[in-house]
Amino acid sequence: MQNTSNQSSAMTGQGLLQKPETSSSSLKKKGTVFFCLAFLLTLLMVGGGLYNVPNRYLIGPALLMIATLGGGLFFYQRKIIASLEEVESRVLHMSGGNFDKQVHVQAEDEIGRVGGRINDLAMNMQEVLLTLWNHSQENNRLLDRIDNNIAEQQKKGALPEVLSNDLAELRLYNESLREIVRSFNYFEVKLEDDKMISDYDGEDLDKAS
Amino acid sequence: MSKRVLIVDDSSMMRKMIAKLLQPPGHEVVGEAKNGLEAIELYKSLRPDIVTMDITMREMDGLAAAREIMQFDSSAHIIFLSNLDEEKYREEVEAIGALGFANKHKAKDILDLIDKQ
Repeated sequence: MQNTSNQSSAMTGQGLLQKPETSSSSLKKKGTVFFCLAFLLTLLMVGGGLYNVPNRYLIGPALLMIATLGGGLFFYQRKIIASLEEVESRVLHMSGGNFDKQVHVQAEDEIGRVGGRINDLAMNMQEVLLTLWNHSQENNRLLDRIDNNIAEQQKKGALPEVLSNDLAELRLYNESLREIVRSFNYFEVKLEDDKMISDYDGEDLDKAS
Repeated sequence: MSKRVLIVDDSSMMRKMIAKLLQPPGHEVVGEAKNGLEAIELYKSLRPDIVTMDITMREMDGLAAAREIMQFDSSAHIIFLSNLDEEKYREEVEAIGALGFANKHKAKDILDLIDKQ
């Protein structure tokens, strides 16, 4: 894979656009810098205290320490906690069978990437369910055709009744699969009258465009 | 004849399945995009023979992306692959000038549309 930190996105060897991980966006690196700085400043203050360094020489490091801890707390609350709360809220929504909303974490750090991967997982899950729906539609069409053929043959007394019963049972299984699919909410897709149509911002795609 | 194909779909699973479908006939997957914006960017840099385009996607949907690509290159060959009801979108697909519309899971229809070119 080719990652170019100078570009906003770069092509991988397979031509798949991927945002590169830049050194400034990594939480791991930011955390390391923060803790190293806090540790060094703490050592400085403790050392200064132990060796009776005049206070005027410790004011600078003390202020830097306060700024570092304050900045760290601000960053922790506003960026990390806020991002995690967004991820948690969306995952809770998805775990209830709702794929209509995605995780919105703008940060290009580890939490942002987790949010992106959760969205990918949700899209794949939606794809599986909608495939199931499509196949069950085809099953229904085939079952209707077989039913009609059986009815014709049974009039002539050519087929046993058990075949109709088996088909009725197949139809029930198919319908229960469709019920599972209907019980989810999808991203920009709705199931209406056995048709699958787009639900772009609550309107059909052709109206939205 | 082997074609260079750009696959556009927001589901990584579906991109993988389409790529797998294109392998045996010898088509080459030159790129994958997960939304319309990426599709436009990749089309401009890769200039594939065929684009397989999903319709509902985040950031930018397939119909909007296809219009942009056709504006950029009126000879672009775009095939819409979707689970959506074909009757509803056929007119729009034709108005854009796409090659056609196929259900994502009807492999034969997809390959027939690609081989038509």
